[in-house]
Formats: sequence, C-alpha cells, structure tokens
Amino acid sequence: MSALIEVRGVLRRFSGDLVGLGPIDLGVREGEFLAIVGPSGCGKSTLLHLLAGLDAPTEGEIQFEGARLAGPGPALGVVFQHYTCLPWLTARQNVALALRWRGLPGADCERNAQRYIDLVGLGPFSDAWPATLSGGMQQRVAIARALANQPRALLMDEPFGALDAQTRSRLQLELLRIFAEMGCTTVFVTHDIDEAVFLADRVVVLTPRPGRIHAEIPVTLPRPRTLGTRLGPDFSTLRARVAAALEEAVYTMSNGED
Amino acid sequence: MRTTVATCCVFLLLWQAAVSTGLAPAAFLPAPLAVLSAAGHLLASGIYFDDLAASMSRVLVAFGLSLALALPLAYMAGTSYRMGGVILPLIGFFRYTPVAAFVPLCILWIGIGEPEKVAIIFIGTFFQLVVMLTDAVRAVPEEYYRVARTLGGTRFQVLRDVTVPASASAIYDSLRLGLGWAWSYVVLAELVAATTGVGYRLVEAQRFMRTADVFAGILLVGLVGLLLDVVLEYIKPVFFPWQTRR
Ligand SMILES: Nc1ncnc2c1ncn2[C@@H]1O[C@H](COP(=O)(O)OP(=O)(O)O)[C@@H](O)[C@H]1O
Ligand SMILES: [Mg+2]
Repeated sequence: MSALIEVRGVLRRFSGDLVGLGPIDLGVREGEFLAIVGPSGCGKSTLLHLLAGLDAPTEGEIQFEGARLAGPGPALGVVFQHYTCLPWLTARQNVALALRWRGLPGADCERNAQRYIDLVGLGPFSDAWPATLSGGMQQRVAIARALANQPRALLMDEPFGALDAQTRSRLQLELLRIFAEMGCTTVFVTHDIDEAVFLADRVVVLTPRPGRIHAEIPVTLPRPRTLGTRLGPDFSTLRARVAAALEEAVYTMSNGED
Repeated sequence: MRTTVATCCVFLLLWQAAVSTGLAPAAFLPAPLAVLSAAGHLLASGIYFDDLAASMSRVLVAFGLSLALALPLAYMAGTSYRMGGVILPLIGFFRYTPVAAFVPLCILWIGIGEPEKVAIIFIGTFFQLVVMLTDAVRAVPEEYYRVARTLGGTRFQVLRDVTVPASASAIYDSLRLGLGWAWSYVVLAELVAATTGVGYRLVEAQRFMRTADVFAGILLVGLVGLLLDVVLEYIKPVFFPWQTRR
C-alpha cells in the first residue's frame, strides 16, 4: 500500500556541515494520526517544514500523493508552534483568507469560514481580533484556517506546546473530536510523550540531532478516546514504551559520541 | 507631569526676570507676555491663517508626491533583496546630504516659485521615507509569509493581503515622523524668496526688527507641528482597530 506522504532518504544540512535532520525514511498513511516525538533540537520542526514543502531536503525526496512534493499549498494544512493568526484580520477573516484567495465568492467564504470556526468551538468569537484571544483560542483559529482548505493532510508543530496544562488537555480532546469527524491525515510533532500516545495511531521517536528514526510504536488504544483513556493500564504501558525508546535514543547517541 | 509644569514655570520666570531686570534688551529678547500678545495679534489679524494654508498646502503637495513615489520603491526594496541592492545605495547618498545644500540648486534649476518650495520639501522627505518605509516592509515577520505560502497565496495576493496590512502600522508611524520633517522644511523653503507662508512671516518680522513677532512665529510653527503629531497619534486607532491599545 502506498503512503499519502513518502519520505525517502531525506537529509537536511544547514550552513556548513551542520546536519539538522536525517537521513529519514518514513511513510504517512492515508487517514492515520502520526505523532513525532524527540528531544528538543533534534529536527522535528525541520521535518515538519520539509513535509509542508516550506523547505527542501538537501538529500533524498518527499513524495506527496505519488508525485514529488513541489512546495507548500492548501492541500497541506499547517499549524505552527507560534500563534500565527494575522492580527489585522478577525478570527473568521483569518479562516476565510485562503478561500478568498482561491476565488470563492464572498458569501461562500464567510459561510464556510464560520462553519470551521464553529467546528473548533470558537463560534461566539468569530468577529474578535486575534490580539483579544487567548493562546489556545488563537491555535483554534489556526486549526480552523488549515482545515477550511480541506487539506489532504494536517501538519502540526507542537501546536499546544505554549499552552497551560488545562487548555492543552481541552484542545487535545477537541483535536480528537475533529479528527474523528473529518478523518484528515495528521502529522503531529510534540515533545510531550503523553500527548503523543493520547492522540496518535503511531508514534515515531527521533534521536537527538541529527534526528533519525529510532523507533516506531503503534498505539493500539481504541477510539473514541476520552479522558478515561489516560487512566487505563494500556495507556501507561504505551507511554512507558515511548519514554523508554526516547531515553534509549538519547543514551545511545551520547554514548556514540564518547 | 508635575515636574514638567514646574520646569516650564521656572523657565518662564527666569525668562521674565531676565527681561524685567534689563539683563537682556527687549529688542533682543522680548518678554514672554509680549510674545504671547504678538502671537495673539498674528492670529487675530487673519493673515496668519493664509500663511498656514499656504505652508500646509506646500507640505501636503510635496509630502503626497514623496509618499506616492517612496511607497512603491519601498515595497520593491523591502520585498526583494536584489531590488533593495539597486535602490538603497542611491537613496543613501542623498539621505545624508543636508536639504539646505540643495536650496541654491533648486533655485538655479526651477526658479523661485511654488515648484521650488515643493522641491525642497520633497528632497527633504523622499529619501528618508524610502529608507524608513523599506525598513517597515522588511520588518514584516517571516512567519506571516510562511503561513501565506501554506495557504497558497499568489505573489500579488500575498503582497496585497499580507505585506501591505502587516507593514501599514509601521508605515503610518513613519509618515507621522516624515510629516514633522516636511513641516520644518517648509519653513526652511520659505525663508528664501517667498511671499507667503509661516516661514516668510518669520523673515518679514526679522526684517522689521519685530523680535516679539519672530518669537511668536517660532512658537506657532512649533505648536502646529506638535498639534499635527499629536492628532495623528490620537486618531491612529481609527485606522488600526485590531491593535490592542496600551
Ligand atoms: N535555518 C537554520 N539554520 C541553521 N540551523 C538550523 C536552522 N533551523 C534549524 N537549525 C538547527 O537544526 C536543529 C533542529 O532544529 P529544529 O528542527 O528546530 O528542532 P526541534 O523542532 O526538534 O526543536 C537545531 O539544532 C537547530 O539549531
Ligand atoms: Mg521545534
């Protein structure tokens, strides 16, 4: 079975000899929720930017829907780590922007945008300026904005990393609900093991820089997942396995350098 | 605030004392009250409003021209490093040459009419504006462009819907500064070969040794400049309702 996104021998070298990532081989399957975890600085953001077409690999190539990935576009929705709402547009206008760019008539843009604003639970705030929204709300806008384009895949780079624990937990549940509703293939970068296990169908563990794949752990927890899922023994076992893999990745690496 | 008021009072008292004690002759330094009454007369006579209108229209024409030419250049230089490399070095030379140095050349080339006044203000503001507006455009965060690319905007759409609104607030601030310069250059331009304007009124008072009128002229020019700046700052939220007010 061919993957929606196929990463083949991808390596990203920065100025000089600094290898930021890779080489990496990875397939993202249609409809799956893939989480990528790794120590900070290992190249997670680099990988996500490569998947989004915002950056080009130094070696290797990325295939998207069977063809070489040429660049970014609405088919690959991205939610960034930092809040990236355009501050001069209201929440709804932020979501409508790409629809407008694609030439959708004004009324359709508004209606569509409102639908996705509602989907992420921001209905009453659709006319609010981003500066008046909390961090969690701004990330909801960013998610709505990416989804409104009906992307083939949703790529998220530690989207909840800067949020407080409660908001983060709420948004994780919302994301699970949205994923169940839309079934959109998702790649989710995080350094939070709990989050990865709770959300994903599969967790990929990267080594410290240059990030390579150290382990792939399938998450067999049934959906729909709820807060209760986190309390079960299966969750603890999986989380322990991911944590062990991560520790092993860091340990092997630092040993290799001695 | 209280210290500001106190400082001003002390300053005015010392000034008045210097004049009352005869330390400074009135022809050299008129008393504060004399300046105030001269300003009152200037305003009451109505001439001053004609001068204001003349100066202001020169500023608006010249600054409008400056802006109309600087904006496209700044967007080119600010969005493309290659264009920046072409445009900015040329601008840089003129930017560091004092405007006053161009006055004789302007008179030589275009005479002493209105176009010469406009040209001096234009020279004084245009080059500075290009540099400041380019900085404003360059300061648009890379993240916005990254988002725009993931949303699939064309070059023109990104320019219109991201670059322009993202730089608008900084550009507005630059315009406020630029207008202040334009206001001071109009006075300079009117010192030479003018028959109207707030600068001309100063020269005329000087010719007739009406020192109090000179002082009053300076005071009014300063107040108008200050008023322009304050008003522009005050009404900014009307244009940028999305910015949180401090
Ligand atoms: N544009 C760049 N130029 C040079 N080095 C970079 C650049 N981007 C990232 N790096 C380096 O590559 C490594 C991986 O970065 P990043 O992908 O941001 O890590 P992560 O997201 O996992 O924390 C880091 O060590 C970082 O310093
Ligand atoms: Mg990162």
